[in-house]
Amino acid sequence: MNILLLDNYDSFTYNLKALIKRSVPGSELIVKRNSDHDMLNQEYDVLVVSPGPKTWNETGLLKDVFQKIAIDERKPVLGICLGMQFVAGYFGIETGRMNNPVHGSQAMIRHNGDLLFEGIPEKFSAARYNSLGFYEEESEQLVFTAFEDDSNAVMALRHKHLPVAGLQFHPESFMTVHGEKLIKNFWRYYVKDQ
Amino acid sequence: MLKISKEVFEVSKEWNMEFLFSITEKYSGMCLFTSSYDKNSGKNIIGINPVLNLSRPEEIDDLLMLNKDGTDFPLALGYIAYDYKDRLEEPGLFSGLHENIFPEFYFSVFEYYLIADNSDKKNLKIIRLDLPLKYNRISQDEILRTEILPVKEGTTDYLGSSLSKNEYEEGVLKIKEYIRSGDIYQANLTRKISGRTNLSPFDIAIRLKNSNPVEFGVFAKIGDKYVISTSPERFFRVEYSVMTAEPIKGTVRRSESEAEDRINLSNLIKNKKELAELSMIVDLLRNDMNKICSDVAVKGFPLVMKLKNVYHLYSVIEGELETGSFTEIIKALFPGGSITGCPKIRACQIIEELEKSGRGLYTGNFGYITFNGNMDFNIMIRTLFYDNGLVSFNTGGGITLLSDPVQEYEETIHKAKNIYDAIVMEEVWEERYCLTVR
Repeated sequence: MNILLLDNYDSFTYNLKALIKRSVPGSELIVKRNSDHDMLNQEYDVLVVSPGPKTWNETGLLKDVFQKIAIDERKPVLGICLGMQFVAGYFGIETGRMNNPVHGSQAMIRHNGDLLFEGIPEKFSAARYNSLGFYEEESEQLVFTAFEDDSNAVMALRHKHLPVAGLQFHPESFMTVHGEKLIKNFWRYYVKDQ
Repeated sequence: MLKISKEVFEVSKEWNMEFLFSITEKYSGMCLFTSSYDKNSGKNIIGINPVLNLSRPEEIDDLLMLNKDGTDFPLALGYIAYDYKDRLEEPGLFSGLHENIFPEFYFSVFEYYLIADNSDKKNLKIIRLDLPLKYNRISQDEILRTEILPVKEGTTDYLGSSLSKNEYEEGVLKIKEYIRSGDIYQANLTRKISGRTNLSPFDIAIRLKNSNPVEFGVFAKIGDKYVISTSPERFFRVEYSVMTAEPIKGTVRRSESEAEDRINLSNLIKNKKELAELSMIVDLLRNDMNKICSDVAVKGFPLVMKLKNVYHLYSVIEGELETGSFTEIIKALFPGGSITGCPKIRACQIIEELEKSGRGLYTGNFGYITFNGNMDFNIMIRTLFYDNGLVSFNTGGGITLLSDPVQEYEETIHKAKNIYDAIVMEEVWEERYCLTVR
């Protein structure tokens, strides 16, 4: 299986790579920066979008890559932090400055039973690194699947029809307790069903 | 590259740090020293008479490939300047600020290495490398007869700061805005203080060494310029196939009153700002190590380092190193995450924009590589540079959304105090209140 890990010039990309390698035995990941045109000429089975600086609109070739892999080819995509904000933005949900920016601390996350969270307690601790975010609103395409317990900011989402999911918190952080389980679930329900 | 053979001698010789620094001064040496809090631990390594200079990481790999054996004697000593980061990243990412006083990548292979163990002040280990005869040889006797230089009195005049108080405080506010807009989570902002001194580099090194216990100290003569570091921070170590990083974030002053000292420590351990900063750097170091290691794991978080004047928080991260290439190691790790911010590339760009000048060697790494491929490198903070009577040193700190500009500026003065005192530089009015000093 060819997994593309698209790196938005981030400093947690290789933690994500290590987490996926640990959670999905035998997986091989190819890391490409979001400026690398080579990505558009290759075939991939899964796209994972890294966190990164700035806003979802400032992510190089990500829009083209997402269009090809997620929309044209209907293949699975997992976006983390900026990656999730991109998925939201692509489907019309705008990201703005949050009331409670947090960087490098744990937040209490509450999920609503989506398959991505199977086997994970309804509330669990995970690392947050973000100033930007958004709150639940009407969406034709997206379902919101987890929230920050106190602020209700969106912490996870999925697409209604495509195998596309996003996490605002950081599963790859040493402060997140169920990172491995989340990746396993993504592979079980979003990737394997393909 | 050379294939080098070596001889090892144990000699009976009483020594102290003044002796080691005097040798360093006399033979254009590099001395990596430690005067740990527990005085009888750690060792000092001195390279004497540089024979071969290496200016690219690939040259170190060539040297290692030819000379790798099972011994852990030093093979090369040297440093990577912070400004070298431009060469390790894709072109155009950084603005190319360079200080241009010292070479940016500089390692030497020396004719002699002296190992002085702090637990045994009566004996020295000497390693002599057999290098081609065209170089100026020196004798062991000559080294051991080196006279200890006298420490002279002197003073240093303040010449200025690269950023004024206003500029620094504005920089803090700009970083907070960059954090708010999603560019970064944290960045380290520093300013460079310069002075003119009539103290010799040797005087300064001795005074700085005496002013504070030093974990990862350096006294090195590079051509006619000097590096004097009193760094408490290890960047990374490679021991056989285990790589360890030990980032520091979080500081509190110690108190003479035992009760207050305990309260300060307990406040530090509970301080959310400091813990978040350390967490962020732990994730960043894990990331960089994950590029070249398997099984990267956090072995301690948070840990407390007890120094004479301050407590620090730090962490230990370990991984199983999957490469023997120095080039690959520094491409993965450099520059150290604890002195850039996170995400690293964007933080470095913002640092260039706000600091406006190159950092030179400051926040680069000084260390050594052994014949069996082990290595140990510091982070060059609390470090002074000497160039023909001119001295300079940076001071700064990590800026987060919770930072207060006035307090952060005050902190830069506090952190520089040890160096101020050691070089006998009076704190000037401009430092505390100035609008602009150049």
